[in-house]
Amino acid sequence: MQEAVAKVSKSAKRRPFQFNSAILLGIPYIAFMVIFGIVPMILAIIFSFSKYGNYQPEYFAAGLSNYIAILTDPQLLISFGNILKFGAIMLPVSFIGALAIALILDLADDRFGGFMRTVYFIPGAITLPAVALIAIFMFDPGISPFGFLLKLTGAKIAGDILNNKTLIYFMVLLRFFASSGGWIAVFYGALTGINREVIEAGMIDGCNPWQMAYYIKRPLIMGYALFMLINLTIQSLQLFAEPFIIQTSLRTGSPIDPYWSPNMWSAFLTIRTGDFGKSAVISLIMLLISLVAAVFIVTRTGMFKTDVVRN
Amino acid sequence: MAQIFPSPRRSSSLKNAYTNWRYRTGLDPVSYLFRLGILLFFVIFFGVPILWLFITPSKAHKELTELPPLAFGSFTNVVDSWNRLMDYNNGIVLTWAWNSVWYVAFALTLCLIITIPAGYLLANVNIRGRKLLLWATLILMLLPSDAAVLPMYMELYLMRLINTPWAVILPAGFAPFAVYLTYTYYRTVMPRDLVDAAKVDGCSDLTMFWHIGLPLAQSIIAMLLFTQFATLWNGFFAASIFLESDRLKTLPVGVWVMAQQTGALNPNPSAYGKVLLLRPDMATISVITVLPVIIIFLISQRFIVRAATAGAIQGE
Repeated sequence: MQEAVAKVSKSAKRRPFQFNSAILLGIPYIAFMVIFGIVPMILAIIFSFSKYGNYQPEYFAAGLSNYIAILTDPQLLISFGNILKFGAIMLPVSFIGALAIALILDLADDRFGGFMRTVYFIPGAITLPAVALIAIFMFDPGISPFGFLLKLTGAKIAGDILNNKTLIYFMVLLRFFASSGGWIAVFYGALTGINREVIEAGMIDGCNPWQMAYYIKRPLIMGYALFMLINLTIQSLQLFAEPFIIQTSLRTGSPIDPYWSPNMWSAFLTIRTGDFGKSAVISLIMLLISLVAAVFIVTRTGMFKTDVVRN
Repeated sequence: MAQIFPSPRRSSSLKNAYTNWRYRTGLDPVSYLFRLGILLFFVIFFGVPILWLFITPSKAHKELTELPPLAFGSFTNVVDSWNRLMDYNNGIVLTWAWNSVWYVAFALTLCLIITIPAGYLLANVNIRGRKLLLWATLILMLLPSDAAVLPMYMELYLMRLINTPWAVILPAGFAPFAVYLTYTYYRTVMPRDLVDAAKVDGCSDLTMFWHIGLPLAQSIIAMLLFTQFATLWNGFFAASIFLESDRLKTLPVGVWVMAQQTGALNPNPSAYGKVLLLRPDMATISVITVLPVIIIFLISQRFIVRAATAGAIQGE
């Protein structure tokens, strides 16, 4: 079937051009893709070589100066260092957490498990400002349902717990709270899709349910796991909402500055100083990393099989 | 007839009940309890904060610390809190809610009008450049949407769309993941043989889309509505930057604006801002913001998960 499709498309190439009115179906999409998918990237490239003073651009007047300015700015290492630290903790926590919970859910098939899955899933529906708000309240010993635990640490107000040192862990927890449910559901979906015969073969060979989860089911859903890992990496690169909300909400003694993550720094340069040039350089660095990851996911992980990409 | 294998259901003995239970769960009691314990721990982790959020509007500011955290206050307090929200900035909350509703409605409609035909085209029509288009869709859908927000700001700035509702509505028209979902859907529901046979019979691609593709679109439209609704309603990064004027903001951005202006989030109580909104009011506005998505999520959990696993399960 797929070969036939490939043959048809090959022969289509050799045909002289014929207008197919069906292209009308795709024209709006192509137009929007160009305007909102491709032009922003091209603009970012143009802006990165342009000079900005008082919002008035001089196109291509900057040469490489924006690149040099950003690449030699000590803030580059600090911002990227911050998200690397965040990623280094968030990645294993989210990954192992979601995978383990899904495997444990799948140990038995009961209604109780279905209810649990729904509860885990709900935080994913909540917009980030509200999640941040809930999280800050959860760490206030006076009002939090977990107050009795927080008081054990001797804390009296949320500020005793949320400070420079704990900030990253706080954001990791926030992210885990908000996004694990979705991943658990994805893993669980993959687990229920495993061929029954494989499971039965394992049972006949004397696997107990825990061994089955670890040795048989886990390797079978590793494709999803790789996809999740790459996805989490891209997301931690783009870190914006959580630190931005914390920075702007906790004005006095906020443990975060306005250029804490690369995206915040880029937003600060664009909106506060109007320096689109330098901001574009930061965006391009992150777009480039994301692009490499996207190409890798499509060509290597087998997550998105189509008739043009086969693995 | 003598029963050689008595059914465990008929017997009331404890042993048979255990065998029955064991057969049903497939786990020994220790493993079962262990699983239960871990799952309950995470139910507390994920569920209690949400429960707290929904209970908090029923408490007066003082009761937040005086009553147990998960105790219900009274409905009078909910009304009081609602009134304070309405007083805030001349009831701007209602404007934000209305903005959220109509931006999302426009954005969803635009997204569907563009996405369904495009997904159909990619799945069933052999035009030049189809492969390139499919590749571009795959790559662009995997770029996190936040990655292009600032370059997009610059573009919208040049188009003079910053600080207009169109800055958040129009970009929703480009939804590569939705196009990909539609593509896999049509590949699954319209067998190639059927498409080829219709073509041999002289059916043009456009006619086929109109008479076969569109009537078949119902379930993909439902899936796209559910998955895109949550994304669009919750959008924060772009909305917080593209919409500067207070009257244009959406609910999620509004929650953040309130948190900033009132200082109600501040762990240091002395740092309260000028506007007097209390902590229960922040919970009330959060509940208003998240409730529509939670309801949609609960209804469509299956759709959303199926969309997320579409690549490997539905792909060819």
